[in-house]
Amino acid sequence: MNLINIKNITFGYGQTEVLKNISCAVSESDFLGIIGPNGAGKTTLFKLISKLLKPWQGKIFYNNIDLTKIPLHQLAKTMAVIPQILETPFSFTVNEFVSMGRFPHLSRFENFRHQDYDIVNQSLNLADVSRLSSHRLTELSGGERQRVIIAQGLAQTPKLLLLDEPTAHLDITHQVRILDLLKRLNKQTGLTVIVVMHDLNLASEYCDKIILLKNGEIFKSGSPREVFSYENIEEVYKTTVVVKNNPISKKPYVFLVSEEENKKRR
Amino acid sequence: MNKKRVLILILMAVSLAGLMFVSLTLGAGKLHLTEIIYALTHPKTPELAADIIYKLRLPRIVLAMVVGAGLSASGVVLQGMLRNPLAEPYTIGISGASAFGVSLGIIFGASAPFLPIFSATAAIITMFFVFLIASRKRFSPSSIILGGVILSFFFSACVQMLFSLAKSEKVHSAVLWLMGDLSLTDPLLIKIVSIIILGSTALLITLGRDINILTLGEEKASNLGINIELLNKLLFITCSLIIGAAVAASGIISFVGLIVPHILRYLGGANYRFLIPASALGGAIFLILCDTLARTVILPLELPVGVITGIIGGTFFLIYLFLSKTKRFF
Repeated sequence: MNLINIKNITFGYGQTEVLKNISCAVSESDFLGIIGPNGAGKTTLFKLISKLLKPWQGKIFYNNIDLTKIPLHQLAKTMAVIPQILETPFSFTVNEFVSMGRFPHLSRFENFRHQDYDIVNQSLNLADVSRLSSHRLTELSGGERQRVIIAQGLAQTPKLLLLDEPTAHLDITHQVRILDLLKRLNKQTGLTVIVVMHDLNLASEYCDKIILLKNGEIFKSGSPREVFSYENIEEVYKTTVVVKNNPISKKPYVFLVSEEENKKRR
Repeated sequence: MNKKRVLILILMAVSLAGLMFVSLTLGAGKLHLTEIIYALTHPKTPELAADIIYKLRLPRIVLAMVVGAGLSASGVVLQGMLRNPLAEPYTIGISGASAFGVSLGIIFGASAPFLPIFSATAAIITMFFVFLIASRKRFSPSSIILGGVILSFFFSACVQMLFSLAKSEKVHSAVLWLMGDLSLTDPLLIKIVSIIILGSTALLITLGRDINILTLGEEKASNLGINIELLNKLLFITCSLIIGAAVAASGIISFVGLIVPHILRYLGGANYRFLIPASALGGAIFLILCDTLARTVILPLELPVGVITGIIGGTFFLIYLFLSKTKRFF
């Protein structure tokens, strides 16, 4: 079943069109990566799906319901969104911060029930941050912080998790830990994951489906094998590359070729 | 809410009650403890002690409590709304705007109970501009504080202009009031101001959980199901009402909304469900303390309480500036 169905959406800022006539569908339990060069419209598409922006034309259906008809607090019960930048000017503890994920499920004067505490603890465990629960957010490293932010999303008990570049600025240890976590959740609980990514090889390694954007249009979508051909990547990124398989996973791996090497071979 | 926070709140409530009583016993006229207790338990007694207590000290203590609670609670809420730990009614220029509103009211001869209307209107309009500018500048802390300084200068010039044009007998009391003065004794105004401030503060307390979410930024808050526009409007109207009422009754009392929330955040953490009631209690305690100091330190003269909070607040601000190592500050 299609969890997200995007039909001919067009959107822009001011007079400039950023996305042109985009259509695509995301099934339940998909692990979808959105990739493309800077300015291709990845984050804009992300914000349209999370209802932060309204399309100029076209419609987005979530669970077969028009997204504009779903109130934000209703949407927040099943869709968790992890934006690229999350401000935390005040030093909440990890436990308090993750507990905020229960917000959409509580009515105004309702207090935490047993099940809410359980869900928060589970989310802390899943994201492997329980031992940090009494630490303050400001004391954490970048990788820990990112896992705590994901734990907050999990506390919403979502069906769909949307993440905008969750591994940016992290070292490979934390990149892999975070993507492994997402993969595990996707496989074990059937959580649908949509993730905007910059790193092509991480996207190839972890995503089951890829959407490659170019200048606000879908250039190619499909499995990593279908999308990551050197022709596609060279065309979209205007860079010489070689695509080989990862010897362990057999997934496509994109190698860069520097100008110097490129000249030698001509 | 954890046990430590509940304990802090209880301790504060008890200290507030104790402090109010102690403050009643201090002042220019020497009253014996038995006289005070007698007057408190026999409100109708015609003695001088009862007059001093019911007409001078008690209204002043009650006003200090209410204004302190309101300024501090609105300060902590503004910090969350603007995601800026240095925001408070005075530093973002809303107090100055309210003072201008009240000055207009005084010049036009509005009677005391109507002054909150002038000040709250000025506060709401200015708050709207501050918010508009802040959101355009992506809430950078320096732009908000800079904007506040500019607004304060601007409105202080406007107030001076009004007073230089006005008749001199109106000016002296207005200047005292402008420095932050709790000696107002118009009982009707005290009642109106108390109702506005206590009601608004109670509303803010019920919004603690929403403000927690709001501090994560508008995007995340929206993703968690908050109607940002509605919440922001509700908060800035409520805060403006509080600030307007406080300024109408007692002039510009600076830094209460900065010092108290900072201390409480340090003691009890960032959770707004704790911070708002705690700031209200803490602000009440702080302002009663300052005002008791103001009316006893150079007997038989009195200082405007704004002078005391200004000196304490300025020092606090300076220490904060020196100690704060994080880049987040400016």
